Amino acid sequence: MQPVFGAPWAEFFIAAVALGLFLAMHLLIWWRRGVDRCGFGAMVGLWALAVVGALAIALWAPGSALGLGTHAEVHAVTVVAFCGAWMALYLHLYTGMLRSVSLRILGELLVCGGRLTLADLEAAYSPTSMLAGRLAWMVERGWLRLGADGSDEAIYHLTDAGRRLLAMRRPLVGRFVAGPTG
Amino acid sequence: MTLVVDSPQLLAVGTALATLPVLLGTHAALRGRAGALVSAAVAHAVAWLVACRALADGLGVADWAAGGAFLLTLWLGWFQIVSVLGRGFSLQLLVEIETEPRSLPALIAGYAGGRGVDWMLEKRVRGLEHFRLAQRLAGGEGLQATARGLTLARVARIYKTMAGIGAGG
Repeated sequence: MQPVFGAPWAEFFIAAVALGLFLAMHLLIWWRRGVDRCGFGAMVGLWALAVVGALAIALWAPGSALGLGTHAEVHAVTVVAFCGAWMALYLHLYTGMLRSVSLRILGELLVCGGRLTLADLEAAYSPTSMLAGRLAWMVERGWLRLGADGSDEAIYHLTDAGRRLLAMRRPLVGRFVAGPTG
Repeated sequence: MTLVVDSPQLLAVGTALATLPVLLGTHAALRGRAGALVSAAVAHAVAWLVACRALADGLGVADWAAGGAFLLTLWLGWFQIVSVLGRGFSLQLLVEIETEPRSLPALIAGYAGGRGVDWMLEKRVRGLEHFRLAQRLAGGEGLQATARGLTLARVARIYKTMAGIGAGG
């Protein structure tokens, strides 16, 4: 039977199926276990699973039902390359939704009917809450540890894992980023 | 249906990877200039096309698609790294603490070499203005979202609700 989806559309179609599988698994895990239980490593694992799942569907499901044709050839490298592009695109979306300060400001604007004073913004999204959440996350990841210097305030210290992370950042910042970071 | 691995596709993908130094080199040379990332991506694409033409005759549509998709993957990956390096809030906190162990109030006051967290917020507001997602109210005491900004906020809210992220940020 003649395939409905010829190259590279068949490969694009399979990659889109992988994206659908990935999104379903990712959102299910987020719902069941919470965002913090599905970090970057888990995302990569889910992607690998979704790509294998999509290829398995394409291989074993009746090809004619998928529009690929029963004897059509599907190029594995093209499928993997499309899946890589989807993954990279989704990573931008994921980190933006989860951590972007700019998107959070837009969210606060939406809640307040599109208009906010800077004082309202600070009340809704205070610098303290902005930093405290990130510091707690980095303590959990093992990049920071909490200590005390004798005063009542907890002091954050860098761990060896945090130092290793910064050692990777240093040569890149000088070469590729101009001006202050953050 | 059968799954095949063709060498022309591997060549297209491998050439995209081999020409990655063009992306990095162009970006480093144009560091700090407007459009540096886009220019670097264009230079990388040109180098990839030239290399593919020189190395192989008659690449098929699936081969070009494989190389093009991998090229896009490399760009998006690099843009993500650059974004974290240049705008990473958490990473900047680690830099501050490496200089000197600090408490939360000291970090708020001394963020980004003493500029403070207000500087970071101001930088984000400028970004929202640049992309016409919001504009300052008269007198600069507040912000007004544009129609485009509100649409983006609505899409983000749907995604965050579906994923149970909460407000995010």
